[in-house]
Amino acid sequence: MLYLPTNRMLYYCVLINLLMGVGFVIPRLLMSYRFDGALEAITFSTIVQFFLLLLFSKVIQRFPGQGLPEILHQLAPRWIKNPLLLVVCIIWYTTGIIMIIFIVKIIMRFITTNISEMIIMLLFIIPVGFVCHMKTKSIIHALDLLMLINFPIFLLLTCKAFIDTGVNWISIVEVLSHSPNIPTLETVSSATFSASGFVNMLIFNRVTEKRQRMNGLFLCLLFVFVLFTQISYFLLTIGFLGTVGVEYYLYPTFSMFDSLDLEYFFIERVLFIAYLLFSTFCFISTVIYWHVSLEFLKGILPSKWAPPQNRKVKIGLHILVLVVSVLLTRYFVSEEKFFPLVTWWNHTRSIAEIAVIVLLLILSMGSRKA
Amino acid sequence: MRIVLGFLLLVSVCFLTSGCGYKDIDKRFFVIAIGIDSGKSEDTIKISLKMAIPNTEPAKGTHEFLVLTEESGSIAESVQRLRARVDKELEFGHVKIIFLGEQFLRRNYSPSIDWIARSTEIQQIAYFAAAKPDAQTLLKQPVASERLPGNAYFLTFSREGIESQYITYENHLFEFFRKYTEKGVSPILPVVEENKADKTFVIKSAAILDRSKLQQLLNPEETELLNMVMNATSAGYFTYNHGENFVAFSFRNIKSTYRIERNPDNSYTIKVNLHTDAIVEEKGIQIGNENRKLNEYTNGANANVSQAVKKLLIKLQKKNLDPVGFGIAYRAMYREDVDKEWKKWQQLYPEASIEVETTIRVISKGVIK
Repeated sequence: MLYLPTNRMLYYCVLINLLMGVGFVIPRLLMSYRFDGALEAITFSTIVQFFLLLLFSKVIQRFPGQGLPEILHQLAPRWIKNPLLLVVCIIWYTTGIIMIIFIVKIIMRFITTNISEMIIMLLFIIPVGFVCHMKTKSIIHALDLLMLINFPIFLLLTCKAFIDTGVNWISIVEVLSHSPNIPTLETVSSATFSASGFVNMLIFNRVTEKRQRMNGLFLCLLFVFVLFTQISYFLLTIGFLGTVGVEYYLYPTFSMFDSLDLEYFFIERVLFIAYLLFSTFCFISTVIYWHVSLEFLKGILPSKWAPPQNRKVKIGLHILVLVVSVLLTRYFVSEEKFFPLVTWWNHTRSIAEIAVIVLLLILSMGSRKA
Repeated sequence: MRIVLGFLLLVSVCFLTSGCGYKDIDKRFFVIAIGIDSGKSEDTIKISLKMAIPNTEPAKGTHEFLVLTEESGSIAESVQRLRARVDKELEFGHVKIIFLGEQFLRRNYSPSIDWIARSTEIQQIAYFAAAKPDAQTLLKQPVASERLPGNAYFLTFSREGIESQYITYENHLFEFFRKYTEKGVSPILPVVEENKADKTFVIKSAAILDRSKLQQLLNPEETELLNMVMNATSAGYFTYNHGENFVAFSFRNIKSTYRIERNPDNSYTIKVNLHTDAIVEEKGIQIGNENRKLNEYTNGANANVSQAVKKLLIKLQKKNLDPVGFGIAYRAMYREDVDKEWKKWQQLYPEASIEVETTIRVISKGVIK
């Protein structure tokens, strides 16, 4: 029996990471491995992530209404709890920063080429910095609304890409003809991002009201959808931009959207719709990651320092997040520094996710014995 | 207090955005077409921009535009120089057509592709076309039938207006760039010719390029056949002499497929299949003098079309041009290392035999027998 609180939330978290994955994180790296096992990396990492998801839901159902800090507080000694929380806090924070850098770069490349990057950064960092301090429940409602409005548009664009005459199916067959290959570690770790949204339940598990039964059918559908979307975006991008040409593009998915046109719509260029769509998704994704990161941090701080009670700490955190984010974004905004960062972050993140789940599994088994 | 602080922050952010490069719509020149020609000397490029002049009150029959031309060593420099000659910010986000002059294509066109592909503003769904005699003349020539500057070209290439078998469609920027970079296909562009007398333009031929130069200019008949083989048109037209008089067909629902087959003796055969429905449009005879069966026309059309297509494909093969993309088809069919299969294809394409099979069904002779 699988139980997971607020099922809907889990689906949203997975879907939003899927969108960020196909839009920003995956394409550039995987395109350079398109003849050397990129497709296999996508398939393999999705299967691994869903296996982890099942494992995770098994573990977390034993702790209804509790997040990672509380679970660790009960079961783990302090010397494990605090460093672990600090590490995951930093990793989650970095994820948010990377999302912001991606969207800032997209805006700078495609939309407003002559606005300084600093202003675009601030326009994202300041609101996200404020919103991530909100209550977990409010963030869930915001996510709810956003998915309801925007996700159908994403599906529409995907359908449009499939039926567009610009797709060269022979290029797609050419790429398919080179599989199977053994994927590299780099591609696998970056492909894990798309299906890794469920780890945010480490905090969102707190807002459980009642245990809900996890629907096996929906989980299967989710798996199929995640895999299908990733593979189809990977192949469609190649279909539009060519088996050789695709490597020249820095943001293949967005160049693919730019190649679509809606002749009878009042905006002809799909790029603008895609940009609006992805900037809102990016916004909420960053909010989620930073919120989770903040909650991890609160787990370390002594209870009298915890922000809702202590306003000074709260303001201090605001300023810290703002300054550090701006400095980091500014430093990593050039592609030469940014893409290696993404690769390293992918490695660390995927390992940390597995480590946390395994640790929770061990701890929960230990507690059952006791 | 908090609300006031929040409000102040919001206001200050608004101030930030106003001073950061955003220019109002009436302070921009919308470039709608770009023309690239060869310059006076060997290493200069001439670039012409066609800009629409917006009217507050669109009067009848006026479509004002401005064409500015500048020549220098690089496109980027020319654009910067053009900036000095206008009062408003140049906006490339609405470029919908890019002309490459014929002389320029015959020289070495690849540097211009770099600028266009690298440009962040130019949309990937802009159309690409070759211009005859040169791009500047075409841009300067207003088309009599258009009500907005440049609109005639957009209608033509987007298939929203005319749909002609002489136009090689699928000439968007991303498609051109894909073919330009791809291993195993030659880029092909429709050629737009000036038609000064009628104040219009003519598109009836296509230019096949390699990665640096124009290699082959097709004549209208060849263009039509090639478009049919490339699935770039859905309608076609063909005439042949049947007995003493000619028969003209129009084709509907054209669909062509092709595959590369390995023969037992390790040579390769390119097999092209062309399926289409045909309607007899005209017989060059006096009505009532001749009454042939549909079958006879079917056989005649099949024999003649397949012969013509084969002749064209062999001609292109001799020049080592592959606009249809047999090379990608070969790469897709055989699994090998990417570079290895590409090298192999380059060796075997000039020697491969070509077979063309057509299944033309003559379905009707029109209203009369």
